Amino acid sequence: MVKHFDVIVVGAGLAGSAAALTMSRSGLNVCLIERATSPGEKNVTGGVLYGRVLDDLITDWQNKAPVERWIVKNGIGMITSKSLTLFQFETEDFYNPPYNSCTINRANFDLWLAQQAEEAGATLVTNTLVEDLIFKDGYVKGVKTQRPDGELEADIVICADGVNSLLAQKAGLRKKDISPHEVGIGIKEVLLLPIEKINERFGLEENQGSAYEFIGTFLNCVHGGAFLYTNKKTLSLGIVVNLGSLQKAAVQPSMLLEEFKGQPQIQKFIEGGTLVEYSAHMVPEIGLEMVPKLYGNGVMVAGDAAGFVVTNGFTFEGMNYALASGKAAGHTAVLAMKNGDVSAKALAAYQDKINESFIGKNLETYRKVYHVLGNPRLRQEYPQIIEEIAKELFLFDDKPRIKLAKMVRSVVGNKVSMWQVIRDGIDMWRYM
Amino acid sequence: MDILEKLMRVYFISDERPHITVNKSICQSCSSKECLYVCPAQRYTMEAEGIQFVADGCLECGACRISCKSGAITWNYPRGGFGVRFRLG
Repeated sequence: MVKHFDVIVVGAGLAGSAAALTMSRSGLNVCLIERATSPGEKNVTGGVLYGRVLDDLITDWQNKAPVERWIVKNGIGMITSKSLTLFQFETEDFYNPPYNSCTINRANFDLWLAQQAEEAGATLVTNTLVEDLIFKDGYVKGVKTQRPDGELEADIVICADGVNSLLAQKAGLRKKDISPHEVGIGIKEVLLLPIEKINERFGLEENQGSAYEFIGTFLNCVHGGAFLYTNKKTLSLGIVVNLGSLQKAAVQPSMLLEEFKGQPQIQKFIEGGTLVEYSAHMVPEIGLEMVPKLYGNGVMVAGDAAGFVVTNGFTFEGMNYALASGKAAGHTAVLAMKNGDVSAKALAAYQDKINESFIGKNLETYRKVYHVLGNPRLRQEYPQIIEEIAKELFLFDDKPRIKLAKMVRSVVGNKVSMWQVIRDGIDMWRYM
Repeated sequence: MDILEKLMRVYFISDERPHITVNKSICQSCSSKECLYVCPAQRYTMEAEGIQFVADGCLECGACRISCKSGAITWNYPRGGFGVRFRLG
């Protein structure tokens, strides 16, 4: 006999486990399926977790969850082959709970979250790849796994299967496959360093952490950026580059990463670190334009699979969107099961929840940011201009100084026309 | 440090059934060969006999899946429990 559940969630990442936890709490019979041996083992983060979306899901989570460090310093850096110009923000407001954001290891954090769902009653099935959906009378009615007799039935299936989102395509929600210009490829290294060294280099105390994003000439005009975050005993660093742009440039991402690591000021941060892990993952990049249809008869899609990653140009957020969309899908399923209606019409409530929440609103607000970030001058001319201006400002030699406005005009004028700078400025003003 | 040394720091459970297969006859007529540089694990290499692919060491990102325009790649996730196991992620 085929086993039947109220809801099957495919993927025990942040979206899937948040959905499973929400539904199990409300008494639904939930199966959470994960292809890895343990939740989180296939996942990679290239960002920090803005975890406040967990507040209403897990009481006191900030004291319970396996967090690496709480972020107190955020920075954006522009680098050239010689210099780093850093805009850094640190406030006492981030020193105390409730903290704004944190670094996590996915293998620990995702496992912990899946365990919360399990404790609430969800059945977690690991080591199991879902290959296809089961359809009956125009409704998704379950999943086919690779196990012998591997069919599982459910009234609703939530696809939280990550950025490749093969199931969203099988469900007919994503009409065509994701394309290279819509995603970034992230590659990451984790470096082991003594805790005292990390605290000293980054100016941190105890469980405090820092998060830096960089753009600059190391990218060789490829559209993307680099990151450097502190964990407890390790640093996470890497690059995320648009796959379409990488293809055009025909360069290996690992070369760009090495270029970044070799930059002298970055070197000072990471020096002496021992590589303990290398990883890679894709990430949705273009926001609203790649969001598929979110629901159908008996099916919903959440997290990266739905393309829910948003940037305002300064923060790059996906994990909080995954958690929030998982919760929204979970609540929608609870109501649909209560009313005995899992049709697309009933599950459209999920779309409404997304639209009304920060997910839909921010996707809309920042819908064009990736156009701005795609500007190649952000990675070549502007870091060089900023370097030269900063140098003019801080350097003393026996030549007379030039007034700021005149100096800026001459530095900029050598690289980019003033007209172009104004146009780029207007773009940023409008879209960011 | 080259990619192979980096991959030594990653745990894999390898499967005798590769999750990705490459139709090399299609590759012969491909001029762009995106696979050679988009793969973060450099699993695709150009040898005398043409494109070579090694599934062991694949990080399962999917970059080759969406980059290959010629349709030479049949891409699946590894079977449940197989493939890469990030200890940190």
